[in-house]
Amino acid sequence: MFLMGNSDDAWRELAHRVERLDAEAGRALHAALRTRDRPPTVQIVERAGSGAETLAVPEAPEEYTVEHLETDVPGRADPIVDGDVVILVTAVRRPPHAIHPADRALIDRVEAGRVIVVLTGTDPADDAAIGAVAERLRTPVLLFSDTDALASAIAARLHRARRRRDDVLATTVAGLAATPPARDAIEDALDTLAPGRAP
Amino acid sequence: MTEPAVDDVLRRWNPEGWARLHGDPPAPRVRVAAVPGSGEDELVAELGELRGASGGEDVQFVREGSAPVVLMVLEASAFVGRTELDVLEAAAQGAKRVVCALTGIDRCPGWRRVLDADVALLRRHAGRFDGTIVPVATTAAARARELGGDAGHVLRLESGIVDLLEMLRAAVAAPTTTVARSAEIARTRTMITETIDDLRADDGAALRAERTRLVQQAAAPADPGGRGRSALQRARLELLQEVAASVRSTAAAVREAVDADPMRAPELLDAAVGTLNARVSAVVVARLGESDAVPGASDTVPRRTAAPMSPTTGTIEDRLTVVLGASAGAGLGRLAALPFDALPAGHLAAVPVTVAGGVGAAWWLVRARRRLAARDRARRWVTDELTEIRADLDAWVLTRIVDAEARAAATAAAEHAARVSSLHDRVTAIDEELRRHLGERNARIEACRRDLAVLDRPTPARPGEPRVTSARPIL
Repeated sequence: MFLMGNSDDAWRELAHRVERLDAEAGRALHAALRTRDRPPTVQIVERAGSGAETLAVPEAPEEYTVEHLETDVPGRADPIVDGDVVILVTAVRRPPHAIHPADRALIDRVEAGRVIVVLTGTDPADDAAIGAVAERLRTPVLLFSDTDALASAIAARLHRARRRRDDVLATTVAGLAATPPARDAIEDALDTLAPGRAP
Repeated sequence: MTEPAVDDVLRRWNPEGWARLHGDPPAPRVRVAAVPGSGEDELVAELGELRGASGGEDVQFVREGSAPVVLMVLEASAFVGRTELDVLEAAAQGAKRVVCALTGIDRCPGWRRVLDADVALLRRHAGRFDGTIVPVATTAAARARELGGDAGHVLRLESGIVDLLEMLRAAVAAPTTTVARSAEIARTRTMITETIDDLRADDGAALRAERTRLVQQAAAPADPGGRGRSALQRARLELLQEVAASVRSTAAAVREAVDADPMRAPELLDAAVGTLNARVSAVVVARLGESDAVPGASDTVPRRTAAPMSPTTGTIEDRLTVVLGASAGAGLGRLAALPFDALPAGHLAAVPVTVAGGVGAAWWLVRARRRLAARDRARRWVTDELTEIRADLDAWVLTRIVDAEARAAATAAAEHAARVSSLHDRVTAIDEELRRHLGERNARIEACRRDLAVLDRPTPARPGEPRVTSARPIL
């Protein structure tokens, strides 16, 4: 399912047209648009004291919000990790392949395509340690100091998140209950805005 | 309070711990506990090297099983989390002392912040923590070992590995009886406290609930839904309908028989009433049961004496019928004698014919009239008798129903009284059981408190041993 070009204006125009034909469906479409357009979230997750607060969050082509979360804190339940991008900051361990159970649990909970692991406390030249962690976690592992790689990884995941939101928007709009005229308008627009959607 | 008293409490509450205290001294083992990847392997290796270099096998490091001393290895890259606390809690079960080490300080420049945070977290969340974490630079210790000489010695001292080993040796070599006794007393105190809590929680709630239920049952009415009364009302209606139907069918049958032979009306009515009474009696007995429980009541309908039928002759109607019959007969005789008038001397025969005709006609009319009158009288008599009989039957049925109501009420009252008496007996027994249970519970709680008081009193120090302080239960 792909959107063709910059279709934001087309979506908004569709929302206004549908709202004139069917107020309720129009409101639902506006709400779906707002959900898609809210700033993406980058969650930086760590076991407390891992030094994630010093992580230099790079800029990206689009705006996003940053949240800092701590897991495995005594006396507290783990936070909900549902950001568009999840950066796990953790220290290399001895031996490196001995992943901390709390980190392992987090990686298992979050969709693989959203996670970036940033490793602290290791020598940049220690490729063996980085490789061991990446192999165990089956996810890309970056050095704490490699801000360029981190920026690229975040940008790539934000782009993926945007496409995912577009897909969700198209699916939501396709499933909207609307009066026949509004439905016709939606179907006509979907043929243009989301030509590859499932029937 | 003397030590034998404490020993007695320990032996009764914690026989295994008491046996441990009075058995062979435990092996000088240190259990190493850590979340995998905390640098515990390198640390234990360096501790082993240092122990060998300093001579002696006074401390043995094990990864599993129970040991009097636990070495909890933490790492400096992050604060203590729930995972580390769980590992510590599991490993410290049955241990007398926990020694914490912080590794990776040579890799983490901010380890002092982690150390302070770990101390605070362990104090807050770990009951077995004594407030000390030994920071150790394992890499520096390894380098010191490689360097050797004075430089190596200095570096080894700076790495913290020497302090850690000394602390472990001191923990293992601590007067076993003192440390172990303190730990066993703490464990026993926890046992007693838990037992007191369990006893307090057991307030006989099940017995109280049973008592409440029984009291509610005893307060319930004898016939809560009025089912017995309803059944009798229904029986009354059905029986009266049955009586009415039986009387109607009997009346129809008797009237038919009386029409054929009015003179046998008393005999026919008597037989029919006998059958009617038997039928009604059977129905009533089947519906209400035997009446032997009520004095004076009968299962059969009492027979009533039928009133005699009025005489069949001598009425004004009979005399009027004779006059009318004679007149009509005379007329008919005259009519029959008319043909004789045409004959010579026929008038001589006309008189006898007229008389004979008149007498005959009068006799026949009187006879017919008497028969009709007898039938009417018999029908009226039968109707009157059956009306009286139905009234008697209704009265008898109602009497039987009243008897049945009285019988049912007496039975229900007796059963209710028996049930209430039984319930009161059970409630009394429960009250007694509750009193006994609460008495035993309070006595046991008091005994537990006495044992706790024994354990809480300071133990006099033995010569050469540090004073044993009362350890608080792990919360």
